[in-house]
Amino acid sequence: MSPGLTRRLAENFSWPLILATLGLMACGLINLYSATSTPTGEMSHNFLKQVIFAAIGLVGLGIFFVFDYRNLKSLVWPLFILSIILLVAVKFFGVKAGGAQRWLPFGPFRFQPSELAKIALILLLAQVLAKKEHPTGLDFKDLLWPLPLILGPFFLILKQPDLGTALHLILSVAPIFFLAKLRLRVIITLVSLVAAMSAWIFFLGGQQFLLDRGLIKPYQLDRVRYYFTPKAKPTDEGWQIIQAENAIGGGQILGQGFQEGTQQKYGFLPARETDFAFAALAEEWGFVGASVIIFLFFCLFWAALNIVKRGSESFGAYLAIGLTSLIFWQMAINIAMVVGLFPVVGIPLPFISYGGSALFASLLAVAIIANIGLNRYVFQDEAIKQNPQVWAKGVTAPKEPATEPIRRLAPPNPDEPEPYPDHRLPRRQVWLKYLRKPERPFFE
Amino acid sequence: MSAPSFSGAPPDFGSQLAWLKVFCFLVLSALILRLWYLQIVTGEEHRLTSEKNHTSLIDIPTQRGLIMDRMGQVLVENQINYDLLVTPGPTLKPRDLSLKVAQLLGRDPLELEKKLGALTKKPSPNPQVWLSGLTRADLALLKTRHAGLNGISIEVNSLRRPTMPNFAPHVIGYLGEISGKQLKEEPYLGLKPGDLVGQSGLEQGLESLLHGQKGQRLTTVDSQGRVLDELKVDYPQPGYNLKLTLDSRLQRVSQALLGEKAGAIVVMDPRNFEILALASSPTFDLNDFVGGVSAERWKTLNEDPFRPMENRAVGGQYPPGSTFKIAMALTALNEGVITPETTFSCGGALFLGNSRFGCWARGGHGAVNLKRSLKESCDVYYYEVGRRLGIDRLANGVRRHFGLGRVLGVDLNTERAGLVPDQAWKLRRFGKPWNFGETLPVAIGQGYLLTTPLQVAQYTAVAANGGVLYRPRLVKEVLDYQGRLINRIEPTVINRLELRPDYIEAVRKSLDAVVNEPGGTGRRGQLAGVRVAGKTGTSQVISLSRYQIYARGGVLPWKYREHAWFTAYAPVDNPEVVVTVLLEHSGGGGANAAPLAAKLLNAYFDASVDTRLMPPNQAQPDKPTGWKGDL
Repeated sequence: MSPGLTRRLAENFSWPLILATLGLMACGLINLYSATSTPTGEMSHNFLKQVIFAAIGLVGLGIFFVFDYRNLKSLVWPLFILSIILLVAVKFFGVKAGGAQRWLPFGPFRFQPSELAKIALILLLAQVLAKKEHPTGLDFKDLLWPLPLILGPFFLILKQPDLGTALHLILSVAPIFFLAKLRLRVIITLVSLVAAMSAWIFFLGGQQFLLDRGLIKPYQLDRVRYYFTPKAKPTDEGWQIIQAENAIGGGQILGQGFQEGTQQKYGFLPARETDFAFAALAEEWGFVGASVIIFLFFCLFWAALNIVKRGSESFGAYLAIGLTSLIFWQMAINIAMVVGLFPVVGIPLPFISYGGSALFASLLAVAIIANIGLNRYVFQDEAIKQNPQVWAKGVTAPKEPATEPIRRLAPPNPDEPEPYPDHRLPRRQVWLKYLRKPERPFFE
Repeated sequence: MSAPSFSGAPPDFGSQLAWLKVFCFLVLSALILRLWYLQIVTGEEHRLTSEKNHTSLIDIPTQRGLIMDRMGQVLVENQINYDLLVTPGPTLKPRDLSLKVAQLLGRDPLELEKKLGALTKKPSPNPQVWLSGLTRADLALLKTRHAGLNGISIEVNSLRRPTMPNFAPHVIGYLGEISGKQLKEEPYLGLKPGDLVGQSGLEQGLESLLHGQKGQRLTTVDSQGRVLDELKVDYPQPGYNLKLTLDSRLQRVSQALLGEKAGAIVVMDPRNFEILALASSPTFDLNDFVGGVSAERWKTLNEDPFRPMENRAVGGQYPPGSTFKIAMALTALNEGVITPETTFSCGGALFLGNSRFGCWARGGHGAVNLKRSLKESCDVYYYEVGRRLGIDRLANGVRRHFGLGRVLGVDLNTERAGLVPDQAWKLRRFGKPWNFGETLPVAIGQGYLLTTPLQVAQYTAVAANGGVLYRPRLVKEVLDYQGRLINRIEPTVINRLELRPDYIEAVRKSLDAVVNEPGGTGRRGQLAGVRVAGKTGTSQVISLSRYQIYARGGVLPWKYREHAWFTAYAPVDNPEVVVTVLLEHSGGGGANAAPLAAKLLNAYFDASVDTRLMPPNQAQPDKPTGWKGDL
């Protein structure tokens, strides 16, 4: 480990991010132990498997810190093309399960190309948007290039069919554009488009149109329908929702206790170790436990957004926001689905649900975000050379002691260069401008 | 001036990032709010629902109490029965299931499948009986190989089976499914639809003693309905066993004596009013009701013109005829309108206004005192007594001292009150005032008066025991399932007739004379070795004017013929048994009923007499025999 890395680790390592991740993983393993154990309380095979996956994932996470995320820039296009090829390949060689063709056989494992497609698309969009600055926000013509990049994988995933993942893809990339600033007219147009689409689907017979084109399947429509009236078919789709609500509600404030949740223990809760893991957790640990999980997620997102904020370059920021939103939507959709605020779609809860590939994907995302935070500062000699004043001051300045933080990037104002940069850049306090006295114009 | 740009300039995401943070916060808050609603606001009901989800309350059936006669001989017992139930549902595969079950039990698969097909034609959430009466071997096979057989279950129930064929079906009664109305009533609370409860006889009347307490088993089940664990068990409490006052030998003899004739016999102990036999004829077969009566049988039983389901002994209401003179004599003596020495002249009829009230002896009896009036059953004497008493005194007297016109409560819901008319009743019933001439028929046990055979036995017993009216009863002891005594029913005095002992003695002497003195109407009630006292009765069913229609030589239809009564007690000095015999539409009481009473008394005093020597009684004769003419 190079001395640069240790120093960076000490200074720029986002401890909240990593601690929240570790906390979530620990909670997930505790919950999984209970959810997969037999009613008599014996440990299950799946739990051991997940422990091994977690260990492997953590080692990978540690190794990933050594590299600089910017190296990913060269991988962006190859990854995206690979994911598209795999998505097409699924259509022909995919494993069929439960009426959907989502998996590629990969030796003894199964691989879901849509997971790769999500990360590849985020990487690609981050790079595409970072290429050019858009001081006034993105206009329609700026969206012309990224839009087909999104819609391509979107429709490929939708046709698998996997409505949940397709929606997740769209929702995950949306904040990248938001962060890149959209012009007001673009926002208005997009919002009205979405509103019109929903109105068409829900009220104007769009369902039939989509059904006829094969874009959605009847069972997907049924899921949405039973979401609104779960009692209408209490044996099937509605049953999941009702049982999950009973499990969560039955937890009350403090929960039924570890391995005491009757809904999950006696098999009333469907998919209690995968998609509905949160319901099992809420049943056993109650409102307190469920709130702790949500708080940990909140810490994770907060830390990730702070990394975005304090990032030094657009690619990293876009990539970080995209990956954050990937985890965020996965969590939001899963928990909303489990607590009955969203129709049932097959999206697992990151770090909590059982599943090796999902855990690796989430850990990879966290690793990239942490890496972006770690490599906040651009050690670009060119950049400093371009700014001779800073260069000069820096050179003339007394040598900092070794314990002092490393030199930071100069602020962009060349007229008032900071000869001795502070330990940290000033915190961006948005509301402060309302307290500050209006500054006098520069030229008076 | 322009700021020199360099490629690594940190982008400014200030407000967008703030918005994203706010959005993230809002979404997570919404999730927390929803959790708060689910777990804290409505948590209690969700907890209850999930508790109900994984626990299941299973009833443990209880044993219904046995019914025994006074010697402890069991009359009705419980027979354990195993049924194979099947729950019709979409997942059921009739062919597979029938094949498997047929292999297991060694039965014909086609027949099983046919039966199953009929059951599953209409979908039902409740399990249906597929095979009934499984053996223990079948049960063992099914229980051990239960794994592959989905949708079937085994139900254990006990059938109520009488131990003796055709024994007192009216008294014992049968079980039937609980009705919707009963579910809400007192002794049946806690029972479920489909439970069997007594629907007639003592099974119905003493349901609360017999049915016991169901047990319950609280178990944990998983989502497949498999029982994992037992949380709590409330063991069932068996019902109480009942020891009746009935003497099964006398009961059998009574029923055999009635034979095919429609009628009733009451045998009672006058010292405490324990009913030793209560026979009603024709009878029905309780075995038809084991496990539910078929619709066809139910129909024939109800449409039978001889009404085999009616318990004539306590529920049949007949004019008591001359047997009522016992009650009349005692009431009149008590009211002081006559003394044993009072003498009236019988000229064959009593004229009241324009009406003629005839005595059965057209020629008249001449001078009649109390003894002769009972011995020869003089009607005119009692017309005069009735005239002197007046209807209200008469009615109140017989109601109070003999329990007529009211139900005394023998735990049978078929018990009827009979009818003792008075002025208020007439006004209420017909809206007309009492006609004085209507008192006289009532005084000889005709007119509006109606009694049940049990009530006739009551006033005979009151005369026999010196004036005490007890509550007649069928239950002697209540025992628990281990035979420990729970309650011994003591005789309950309802009324004591405070009459001069010599007056009562006079009445008893007169009743003795009926049987034992020359000229008495009940000479056929005599018994060798035991001195019997009694009273005959022949009660008319139709008015005298109706008789005229048939008098010209036609055959009187069966239903218009007179009822034959004979009521007796023995021995005369120390009465220990009362026998009342009623034969419907059988003619004179002295000729038809008295011999039966004598045979029955013989059986009472001679324990070796049993039905083996008598012709068997036939349950619900398919054709009325023994009577000629139309009904």
